[in-house]
Amino acid sequence: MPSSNQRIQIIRRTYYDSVTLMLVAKELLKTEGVSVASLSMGTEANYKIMGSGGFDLGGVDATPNDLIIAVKTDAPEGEREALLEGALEKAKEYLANPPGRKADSGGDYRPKSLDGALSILPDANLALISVAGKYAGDVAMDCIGKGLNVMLYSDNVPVEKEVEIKKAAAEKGLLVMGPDCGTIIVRGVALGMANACPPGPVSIVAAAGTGLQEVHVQLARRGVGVLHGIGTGGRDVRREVGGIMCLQAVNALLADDEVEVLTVLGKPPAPEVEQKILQTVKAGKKPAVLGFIGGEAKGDSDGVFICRELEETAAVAAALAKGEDGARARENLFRDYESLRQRAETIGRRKGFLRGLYSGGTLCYEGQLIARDILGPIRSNTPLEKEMKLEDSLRSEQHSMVDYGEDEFTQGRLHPMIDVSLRAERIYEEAKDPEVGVILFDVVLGYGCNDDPAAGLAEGIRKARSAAGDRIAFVASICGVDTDPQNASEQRRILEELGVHVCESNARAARLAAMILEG
Amino acid sequence: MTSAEDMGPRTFLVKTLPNFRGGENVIVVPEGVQVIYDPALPAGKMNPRWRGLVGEWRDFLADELEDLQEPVIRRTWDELIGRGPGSTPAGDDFLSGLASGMIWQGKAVPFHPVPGQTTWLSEEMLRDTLAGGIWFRAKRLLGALASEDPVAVTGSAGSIADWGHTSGRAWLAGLSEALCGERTG
Amino acid sequence: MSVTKLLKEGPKVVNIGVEQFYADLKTQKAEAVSMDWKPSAAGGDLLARLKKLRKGGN
Repeated sequence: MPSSNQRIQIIRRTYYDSVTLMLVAKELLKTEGVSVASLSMGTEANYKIMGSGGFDLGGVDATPNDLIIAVKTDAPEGEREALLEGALEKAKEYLANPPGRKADSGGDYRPKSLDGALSILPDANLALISVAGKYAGDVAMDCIGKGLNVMLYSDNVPVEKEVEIKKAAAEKGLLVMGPDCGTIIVRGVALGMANACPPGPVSIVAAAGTGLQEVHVQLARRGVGVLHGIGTGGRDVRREVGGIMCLQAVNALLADDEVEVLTVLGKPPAPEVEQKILQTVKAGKKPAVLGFIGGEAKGDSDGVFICRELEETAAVAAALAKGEDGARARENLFRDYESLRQRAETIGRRKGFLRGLYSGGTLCYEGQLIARDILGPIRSNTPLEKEMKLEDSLRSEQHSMVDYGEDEFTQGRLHPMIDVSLRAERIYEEAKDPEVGVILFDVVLGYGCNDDPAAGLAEGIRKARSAAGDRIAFVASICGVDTDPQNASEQRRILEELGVHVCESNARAARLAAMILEG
Repeated sequence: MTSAEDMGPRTFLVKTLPNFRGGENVIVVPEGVQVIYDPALPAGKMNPRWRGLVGEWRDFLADELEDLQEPVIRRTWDELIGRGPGSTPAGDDFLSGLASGMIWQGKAVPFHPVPGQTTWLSEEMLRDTLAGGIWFRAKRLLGALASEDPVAVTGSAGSIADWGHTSGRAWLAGLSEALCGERTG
Repeated sequence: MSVTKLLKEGPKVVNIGVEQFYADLKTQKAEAVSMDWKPSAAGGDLLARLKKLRKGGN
């Protein structure tokens, strides 16, 4: 009988957070001969994912409370047994000492209940929740019951649950930031995926995670700090939720004497929500910038500026914080953008298509808006218009931009800001397409993100260059600062040594990439 | 026993002894043996802020300790003596935690072990506890629970939770019953 | 604990889930505690069950 090429082990009643499990799976994949590795709780959804990963799950009886470790090998028959056994052992070793626990003062007791946690930190004022979506709503309700504000990093929380949680919180004067909120800043402290920038006079309400990171970074580059950056989750400003938390946050920041300039960010809200936000901000009598990315709203009035891009929003807010003219700052910025044509000339025009590979959803959206104005329609898995949707997110057509942070890529996988390997592979794939002239990508830094994304992408870029030679120009933006754990200058150096043209913002990178292909 | 942290009332000698063959007779003269800690348990009281934390330790009975659940729910403590595998059955660990908590608070211990009901090591442990002597980690935890210091509480609770296969967690569950149980606490 | 208090005092965080976020808060010297969270079906509700069973008379 041939020996099996897979091994599945169930560890009963064991729970680990998803990031830990995926990091361990990633480590296992580094073992030569291990072709697929999966660590997941025995939920129905995970059975499906493992099935599609080629595992034979016959006889597996894990429940959602059990951990399943599954490994598959492509090694020759004689070596399989030992290899699979070794991989399982390795998995258990990693689990005994998970990567994220390093900073934990080893051996300290960690409370299992909210009551336990609150007896350790009785004046806690915020819960950061990143458990699986199907539990996250109930956990959030418990936290609100205890008077805690909530940051809900988890996604896959049903919209009805979101509304229920937010209404309960609003009644108590509490914030619910999320679901699917990756970034917040409170008094300069970064939570989730956020950058290490200094605090300052500007505060932000954002329905867009990487949008908040980009504006935070762009302000820091202009010497202006951010005191609070409150995320709401993208769905908050849609009709179903009605902007409950966006308005709650705007009101709190307007009432806060320490906030000198208010910024509200996101994709354009539902019209009635947009009206409410606009009215509230105008009545607040604070200098304000509304950055509705790609929005139709136009015209600055009553000290309220309306912007369509992220760097623009930051440039205007920075000017207001410095007591300068916001409109002039915007003019200067757009004049600056025109000079990118010269840079494109110097780099050398290319022919063919643009391929954008993004980890940040808002950055991908903004990139499409900008490139469309220069090159025409852009196809995407998250297109500006429905007709431009890519049939297969793994196969680009004509000018394309792919957001790797979408659910289709993150089900059972780490977010692309943590695991850059999928994009590194895709860079090489794109380079093999003779019709491609420019590859554009983002590198997002900060707490919670990959330790060294440039090095992770480097492999793909090197292979791409040797496949395509000089046919393709590589353009990137780095969303980060030197004080980030990854150090933005260091990341930039790695990319530039590989011949990547690095820009100061996503708006510039998208423009430069498009201009290289123009005409 | 691997470190001073693992010291119980009767194990204080172990650290200073050389290795012996099985069956060898040993006479120990305690003079000159370094005293590492005093196992006597002074009376004390839990700072009420830890109630939420200590209360959750009864949940340790949910997983690998579920064999102990029924007697605990019915409070038939004597049924726990000797219950569970190993050299210190988990039931005895639970009772040791329970007794430590009761004695600490100056309350009566609600069970009465009779010789021969459990392993010799467990019997020694229970006898020591009932005589008011407890092991090093436990004493440190009770001291922390009387204080306001979260670092001391999480540090000492962690060192017990990790102790042995299930011993430490069973002990914490027993302590929880003593400090937070509806009738005992 | 209202929003205003959060904004004035700065974050004092109960982390429930991804451990890395707790580590990052500690790096920034923020006050935080990290929970060893499990789905309640995995055993977290024993305390409630105990109370109910005992109240049920024995």
